[in-house]
Amino acid sequence: MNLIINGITNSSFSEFETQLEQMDHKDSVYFKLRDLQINYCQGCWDCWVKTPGICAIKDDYEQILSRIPSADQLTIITPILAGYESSLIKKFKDRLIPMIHPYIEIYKGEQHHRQRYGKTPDIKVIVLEDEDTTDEDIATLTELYKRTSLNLRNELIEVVRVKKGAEFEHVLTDI
Amino acid sequence: MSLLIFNGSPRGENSNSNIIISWFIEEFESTTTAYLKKVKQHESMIEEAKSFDQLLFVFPLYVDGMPAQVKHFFERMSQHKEVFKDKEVLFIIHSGFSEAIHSKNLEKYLTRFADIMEMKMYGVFIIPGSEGFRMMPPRMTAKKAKQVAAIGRDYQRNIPFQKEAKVALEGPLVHSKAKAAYFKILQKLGLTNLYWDRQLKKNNAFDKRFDAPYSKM
Ligand SMILES: Cc1cc2nc3c(=O)[nH]c(=O)nc-3n(C[C@H](O)[C@H](O)[C@H](O)COP(=O)(O)O)c2cc1C
Repeated sequence: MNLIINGITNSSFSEFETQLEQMDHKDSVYFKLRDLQINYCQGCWDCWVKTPGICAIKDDYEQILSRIPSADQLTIITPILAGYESSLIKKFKDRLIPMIHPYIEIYKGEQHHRQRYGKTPDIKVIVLEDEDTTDEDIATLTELYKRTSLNLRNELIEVVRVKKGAEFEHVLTDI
Repeated sequence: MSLLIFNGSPRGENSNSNIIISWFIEEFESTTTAYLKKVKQHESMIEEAKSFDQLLFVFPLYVDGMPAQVKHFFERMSQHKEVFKDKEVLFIIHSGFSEAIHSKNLEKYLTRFADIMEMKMYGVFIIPGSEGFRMMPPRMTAKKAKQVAAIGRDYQRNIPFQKEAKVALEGPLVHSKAKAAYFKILQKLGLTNLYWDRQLKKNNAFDKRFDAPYSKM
């Protein structure tokens, strides 16, 4: 199953979004973050030391989190805002921490946490650029996702760039 | 010169970030701190920033980047570039892991962000291994406290960024092979997990520590 997470913050990519939502992506589950009630992580660590694996905040996020262990792919759609992924996507990522176990191990020569689940889905990132996005911004973002994949012990499939005003149909069909 | 401090921890006042801030401002007469976890107040914080010419951001590493609340504020800032242009900015970022490598990507982005905002970058300081600061007795954090206080003192006296202070504070990128081997031995003995085990036991959750509640969905 492909878990598609839409982290667009407003209507400025409406054409892309409309087509995305009209497409019939088989075997996928779609979440549009800005239409859901999702709070910020508060750093309480309940999901590690009180109710292992379960977040203390009760809101729409559990619908997403509960599907992650059975997903094969996580597709993250984010606009570039101030040179980085959107705060909506960051909020989604911060609350992934119940997926991880507090114990630390050495993995590929660095400290990383043990995983709570056997596997996590590989990640594909679709980046909607603005006029000011540079190649270096994308390189930094790609490196960020490589680090996140290292922490979650999965693979980064690819980072797909959608330049401002460019064609995007092939990106959608290939999701 | 006037300094506005942003504490970007989602934990707010009861955070390791606050402890780090208290070390930094030892020699400051007075400072103002805004808590970025109060997302609804971000617009008014931008208003407040107008009367300051130096900004200090202190926040923890969250999933290899800044906490989402901090990114939310950055997005608001980028809609008010005229307010921030030419202000001086300093970042102190800190991480649970005790290796600097985890924070390097964020450091790169923060430099780019200052550039986008046309702010003057003083520097990005990295403090690995902050997770226990708020629970440790002061003697255990004394060395870090001294290093951060020295950086704060220099800053207060308008001394330019000191590379050596940054390097000393952040330590090696990854632990040496010897230290990693030592860690593996401690791990085998179950000693690396004491910090978490103690809390799990206190909460009567130790037996549930490997629970995977969503594995059969
Ligand atoms: C949701 C969440 C994500 C975190 N992600 C990371 C991480 O990717 N790397 C790391 O080294 N530490 C990570 N940490 C640990 C924090 O950086 C560390 O606990 C820090 O001391 C918290 O500081 P504060 O009390 O000022 O919020 C994370 C903590 C939380 C709660």
